[in-house]
Amino acid sequence: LRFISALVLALAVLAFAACNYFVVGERNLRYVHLSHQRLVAKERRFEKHPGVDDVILWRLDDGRTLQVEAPIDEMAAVGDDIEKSFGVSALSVNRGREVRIPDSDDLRGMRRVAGAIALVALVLAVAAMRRRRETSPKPVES
Amino acid sequence: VTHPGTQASERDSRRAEAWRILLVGGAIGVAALAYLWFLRHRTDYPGHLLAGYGATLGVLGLGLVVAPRSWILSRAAPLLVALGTLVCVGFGAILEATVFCLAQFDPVDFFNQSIGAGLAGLSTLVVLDAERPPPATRAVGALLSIATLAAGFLLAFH
Repeated sequence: LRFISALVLALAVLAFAACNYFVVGERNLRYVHLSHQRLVAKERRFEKHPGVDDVILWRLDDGRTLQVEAPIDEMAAVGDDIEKSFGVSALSVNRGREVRIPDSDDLRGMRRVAGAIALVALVLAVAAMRRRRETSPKPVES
Repeated sequence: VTHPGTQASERDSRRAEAWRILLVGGAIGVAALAYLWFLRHRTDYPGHLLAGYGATLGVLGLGLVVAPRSWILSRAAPLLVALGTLVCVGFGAILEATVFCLAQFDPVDFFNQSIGAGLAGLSTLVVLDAERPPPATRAVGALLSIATLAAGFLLAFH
């Protein structure tokens, strides 16, 4: 049960790290597919650190709402037609203008952090699996 | 009079305990430093990691101290630690969706605090024994829990 428990927790940590990377990739539009959607509205909400962690939302004509990073927000305006393939780092605006999407600091950082977290989780999981249950030594009277 | 063999065994036991404490402390230290170094523009990310770690370590540590001895002795003890960790992850999701929901539910904040909770669960498995934790492990665990929770709040909200 110790092996199974450590394995479950290590896999959960890896899954959380992967999801983190994927969500940040979505905000960078890296993992988003757009087939000529029109940008109908933009909204900016404020979080704990205004100007740093603002939530910028794009509302599309197909009903989807995307959260995007600040540099992405400057690439298109309300009313623009936007198109993008999943996994490709380029956004097509108004069926002609190609805008390259660079990896953001968040995406680059999250990729490196995921590696470090995986390593830490692996070391802890192996240590937990190898741990033998011991009872504390009792003093022997002589 | 304590038998020399028992003294050596106690010394080995203390050395192993010290090594486990170092491993657990070093693990969260490396994880937090990785966030602070690679994502230095977003201090709220390591803030959520440390808050999730500290809160979960506190809950699990308290559990090891107050739970019935039969539970600690049970073969299912590691499973209870894993389940306790997942309950903490769920509780974290509720907090993120209610008390700490400012602009909207932020999945990245939730995943960061859940990574911290998972590392706390694994750390608890590393120190989990057939007895309650020894005093040094309890003291370091309590300090680590309070310090990471406080650092997490400072980094997330400062």
